[in-house]
Amino acid sequence: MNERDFEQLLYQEANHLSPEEFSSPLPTPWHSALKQLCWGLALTSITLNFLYLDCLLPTLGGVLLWLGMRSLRQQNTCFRLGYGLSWLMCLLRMVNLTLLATPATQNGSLLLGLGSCGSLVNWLLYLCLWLGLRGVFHQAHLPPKTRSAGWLVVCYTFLLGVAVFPLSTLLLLPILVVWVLLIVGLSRTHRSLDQAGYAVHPAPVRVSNRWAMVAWLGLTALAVGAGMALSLRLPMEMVEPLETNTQQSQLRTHLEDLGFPANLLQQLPDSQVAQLEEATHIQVDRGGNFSPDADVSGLSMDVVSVLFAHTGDIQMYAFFQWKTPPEHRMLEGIHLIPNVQDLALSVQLDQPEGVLQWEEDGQSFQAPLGTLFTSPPEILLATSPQWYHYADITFSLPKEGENIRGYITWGLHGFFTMTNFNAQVTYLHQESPFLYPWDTPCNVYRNQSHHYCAPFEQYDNLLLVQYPGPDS
Amino acid sequence: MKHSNALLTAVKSGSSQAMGSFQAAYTPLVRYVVSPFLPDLRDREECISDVFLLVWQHISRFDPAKGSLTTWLTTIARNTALNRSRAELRHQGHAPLEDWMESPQDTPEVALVRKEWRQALQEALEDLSVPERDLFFRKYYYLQSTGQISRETGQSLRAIEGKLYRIRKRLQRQLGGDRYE
Repeated sequence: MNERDFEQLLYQEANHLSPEEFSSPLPTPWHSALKQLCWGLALTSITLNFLYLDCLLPTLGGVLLWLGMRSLRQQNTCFRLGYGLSWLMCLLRMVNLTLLATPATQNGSLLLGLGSCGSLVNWLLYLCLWLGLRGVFHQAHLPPKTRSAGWLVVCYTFLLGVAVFPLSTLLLLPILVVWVLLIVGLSRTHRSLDQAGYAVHPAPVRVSNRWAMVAWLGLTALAVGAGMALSLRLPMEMVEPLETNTQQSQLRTHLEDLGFPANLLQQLPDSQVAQLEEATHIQVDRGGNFSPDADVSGLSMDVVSVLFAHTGDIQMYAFFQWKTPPEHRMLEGIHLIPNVQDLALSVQLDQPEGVLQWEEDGQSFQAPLGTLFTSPPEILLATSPQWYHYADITFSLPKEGENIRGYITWGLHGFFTMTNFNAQVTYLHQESPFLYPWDTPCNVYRNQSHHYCAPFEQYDNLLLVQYPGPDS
Repeated sequence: MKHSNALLTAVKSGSSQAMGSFQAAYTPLVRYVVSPFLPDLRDREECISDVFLLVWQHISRFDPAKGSLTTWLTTIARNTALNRSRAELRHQGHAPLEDWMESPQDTPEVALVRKEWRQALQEALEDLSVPERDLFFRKYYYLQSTGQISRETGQSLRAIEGKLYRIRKRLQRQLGGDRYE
């Protein structure tokens, strides 16, 4: 029997079968599309802030929405509009996730704008679902049973309002109730079409749902990967040849006599050294008092405190040097707490400055510590979990540089009595390329709960500065 | 469910108004089932009317314990559409498939082989996965086109054709197609 005859035989014999005996239900043309829509709306409406679910679930939800709307795009105008909106939703998600892999995360307004657009598109999709379903009932010449879908619009509007106008924590329970109602409403909407659903005529597809989903998710992953790859290192600004220090030799000798290590002093330019003319005492902390076994192998850190007894000032220098060239040259960070006890009410702090120096192809170079895409170092005030002043510096090491070294310097003014205080310098070195969402090393260090991996190794130097008081 | 039970009770009691509501509620389903059998629009609408006439005449025979209302209605719709399709083919001078394959003059041996083959087909269908079985019934029981199946399941035309080909091959292997000759 040839294939054609066999097929004819199957047609004939199928008449004697009963699908119910094989647990094969009557096909439903709307079931798949509506299930995708409802799951898509559910996943794009909820936020679970752990294990990257706040990124994965809405992305998957956006693709499911697109699949559902793709199937129904020829049914009526509302679903056609919904299809267009689902395209926009998927593209917005892709752009948002990609930007999260780049320093654009530092631009709060941009991400807020994208998030707001996404929420608005989501709301419009709820509206399209409701009106589209009404259209289906109309096409089936049946009275609409779309109350569940209508309530979804109301619930989501309420949730949007709560997001825009933050309410008291007392209203968290009602918000949770509304969210549960939203999910229940979605499942009821899924079942609401019932007999009217047989009037649904899904649109033809050239690419199967499975492959379309793979394509969307794959494209998104590629975009995120590209964003991460491009953001592994950030370009430095104002790279220039290192100046030779020929002046201030007398002052340098005087500072060395006071105790300033010669190898560290030679890193300072003449303009910096000139500011130390009135120095009376020098205190040096070498090799890390807080972390004697450095976490970052090959890195050494020394802190020099230059004290001015006549004026009540202190100029601090934190020198770092890569004695062994680092294997990874991605992001580096320095988190500086000038005064751990934070007596800053009576002490004025200068904005820190930093310089990176290195050799490359026989030439010496220097650049300010910082990058083109991050804010310059400045003293900021942290209020949580406790109050203290700090400064964060982000930079990248030169790709091919050797003998990489540098320093940051900051000044404190107004010490007029004998006092001790602690300063802390933490150096952060990126060891793993996986950093998502992108953030500066110091933000990751300070907000460790936001990241599930620890791409940074840290080197701490907590030092005690003993200020001898004026004219002592 | 409550609404359909109440409607069914009203129809059984002979309420023509309830029958009107019943017809309005279930016309989309009946149209969905009969459409693949009857491409002509007028034939289709006449068939739908025939289906509801049969429902009105035989509603008292429906027993909820034996199956759902949707299943009962689907069976009536399909059989009505199939009969109408066969009659249309004979009217046009074409022999329907069943006339070619079956004959009242079949010998007892042929009838026995046919019975065994049907049993073997049922066993083979049970071996198929759920999605494969659904695909089989869509194609060979509900007579849905490959295009319709593709649109409703969200798979490409090529993917559906490939799956149907593999199902046929598997059944042919399991059933030994030449046994029926």
